[in-house]
Amino acid sequence: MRIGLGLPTVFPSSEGHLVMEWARRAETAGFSSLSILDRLVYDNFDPTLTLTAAAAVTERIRLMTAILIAPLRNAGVLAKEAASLDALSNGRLTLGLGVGNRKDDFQVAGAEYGNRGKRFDDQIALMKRVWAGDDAGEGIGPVGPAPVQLGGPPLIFGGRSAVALARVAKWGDGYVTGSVSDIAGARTTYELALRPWREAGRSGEPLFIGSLSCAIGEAEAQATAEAGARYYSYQGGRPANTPGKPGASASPAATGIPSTAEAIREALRACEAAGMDEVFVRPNGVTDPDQVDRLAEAVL
Amino acid sequence: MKIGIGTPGTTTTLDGAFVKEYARRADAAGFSTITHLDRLVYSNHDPLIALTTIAAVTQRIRLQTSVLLVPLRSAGLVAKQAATLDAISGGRLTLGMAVGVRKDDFALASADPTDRGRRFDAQLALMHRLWAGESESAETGPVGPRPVQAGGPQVLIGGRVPAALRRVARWGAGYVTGAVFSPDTAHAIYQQVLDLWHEAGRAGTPRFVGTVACAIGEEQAQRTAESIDHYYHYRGGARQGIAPPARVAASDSLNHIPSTIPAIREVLQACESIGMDEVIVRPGVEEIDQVDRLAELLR
Repeated sequence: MRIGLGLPTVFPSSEGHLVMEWARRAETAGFSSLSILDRLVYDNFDPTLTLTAAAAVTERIRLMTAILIAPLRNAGVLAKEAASLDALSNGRLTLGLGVGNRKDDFQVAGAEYGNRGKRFDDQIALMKRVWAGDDAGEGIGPVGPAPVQLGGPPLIFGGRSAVALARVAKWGDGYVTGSVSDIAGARTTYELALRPWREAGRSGEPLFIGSLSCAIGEAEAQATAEAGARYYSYQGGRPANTPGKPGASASPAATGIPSTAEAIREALRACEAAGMDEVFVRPNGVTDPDQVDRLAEAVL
Repeated sequence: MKIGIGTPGTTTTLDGAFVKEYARRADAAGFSTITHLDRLVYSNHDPLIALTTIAAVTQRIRLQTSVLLVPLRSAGLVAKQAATLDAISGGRLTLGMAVGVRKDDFALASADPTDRGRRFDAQLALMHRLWAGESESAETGPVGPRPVQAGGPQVLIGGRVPAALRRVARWGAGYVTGAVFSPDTAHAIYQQVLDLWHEAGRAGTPRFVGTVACAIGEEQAQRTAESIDHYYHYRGGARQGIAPPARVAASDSLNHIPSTIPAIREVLQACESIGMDEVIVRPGVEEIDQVDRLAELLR
C-alpha cells in the first residue's frame, strides 16, 4: 500500500511559501503523492494552484485533488488548467472529482446547484474530448496544451451514492474516500464502485484510495480535529461516514484522530486490510513543515 | 521605465523545465515582471497555472496575466485563485484583465459573449469585495485566502472601447496594451484613460504598461511575427472561415518586429516618451537564451 501526504487545507497568506516547503520535504521523504481538498467559501488555498506550486519544486511525487468540486467550475477552463498542470508537472496529475454539496460554494461560483449531477457527467465528457485532442464542439478548434498522460489525467471519484460511484466504472480509475474513520463503511462504499466496474467488464479492480486524518503529537492532533470540525461544520462537525452523533465535541478522542506513530500505523494496517491501494495521511490544521518529517518517520 | 519580459506564450510545446528555467533567468537578470497570455481554444498553457509554476521558482519578479479573460470564468473562483497565487508568490501578482473577443473561447466556456462587458463589471465588483474580506451575500461567508497585497492584487485593464477605459478609473491601478500597437495609438488611448481617471476624481495617474513583440535575431523576429499572426488568425475560430479582424495589424507587425538591441531600445524610448511606466518585451520563440540576450536592455 502506497502512502501519500495530504497538504494542509489552509496556510496563512503570509506563509504561502510553506506550500513549496511541504512539497519538497514530502518528495525527499518518499511519500507517493500529495493530495489537497477543495472548497470555495472557505479560507483554503485554491487546490489546482497549490498543486501547481508543489509540482514546480518536485520531480517525482504525484499530485492529486481529493477532491475537486467539478460542477463549481467551467469544464472548458478546468480541462485546460488540468492539461497545463499535467504538462508542466510532466504527467503527475490525478484528478479526484466530486459533485460537492455546499450550496454556498455554488452560489458564490455562480453555478446552478440543482442540476449539478447531470452537469458533472457532461463536464467529464467534454474534458475527455479536450484532452484527447478532439473537437470540443461546433466551431471550436483544439484546446491545448496536450496533457502528458495520454487521454488526460487519471480520474478518481469521491461520493457515497450508487450514482456517484457508478462514474468510476464509466469514466475513471478509482474511488477516494473523504476523511475516513469508519474503515468498514469506506469498504462498503468502495463496493458500490466495484460492482458496476465488474458489470462493465473492466479488467482488474478500481483503485481504492483512503484519506486518514492524523498528526504526530497531541496538540497537532487536536488542531487536526478542530480543522476537521470546522471544515465539516455544515454537517454537524464530522464527516458523514463517522459513527456517532453529529455535533459531538471535536477532541481527538471523540473523533478518533490518531496522534502517535503506533496509532497511525495501526489505522494504516486496517486500511490495508480493507484493500486500500493508497492512503493519504492528512495532518490538516498543522502548517509547520516539521510535521512532514515526523509523519514520514512514523509511516514510511 | 521598468522593463519586463513575456513568456513565448503563443507557442505550443513549452514543458515545465523550459518555463522554470526561463523564469529563473528572467528573475536573476532583473526584469521587473514576467507575463503570460490567456486564450482558451488555443495551445497556450493556462496563465494562472503557468504563473504559479513561475512563482514557485522565483523570488523577486512580479507575475502578470496579459490578460486574463475574466468573463470566460467564474469570478468567485478567479478571486480565490488570484488570492492563492498572491499568497504563494508573497504578494507579486498583477492581474491584467479584459473581456475577450473570441467566439470560440466563449463557446467552449458556455459563456454568453453578448453581455460580457456587463458581466465583467459585476465580476470586478465581486472580486474586490471578496479580496477585502467581505461576503458575496448575507447567506454566504467570506472566501479566503486573504491576498497578501491589501485589497487584492494590483489590477490592470486591457481593451480599447470606452467602457474598458472607464474600468481603469473604477477598478484598475492601470492600463495595459496588447502586443500590437503603435505608440501614437497607445498614447491617444492613454489620454482617454487619463481623462476618465480625472473625471472620476482619482488622485495621481494610472499605471501605463505596454507590450512590445520583439526578439533578438532576424529569423527569431520573423517567427515572433508569425506567432502573433497565428494567435490573431485563430480569432473567432479559424474553422468557421471568419477573416481575423486583427489580420491587417498583425501582418503589418511582420515588418516591424525589432530584432536587435538598438532597434528595441528605439521602441522602448518611444514608449517612455509617451509616458509608459513599464514595457513588457515579448519574444515569440521558444529559445531559452532570448532571456539572456534581451537582458542586455537592462544594462
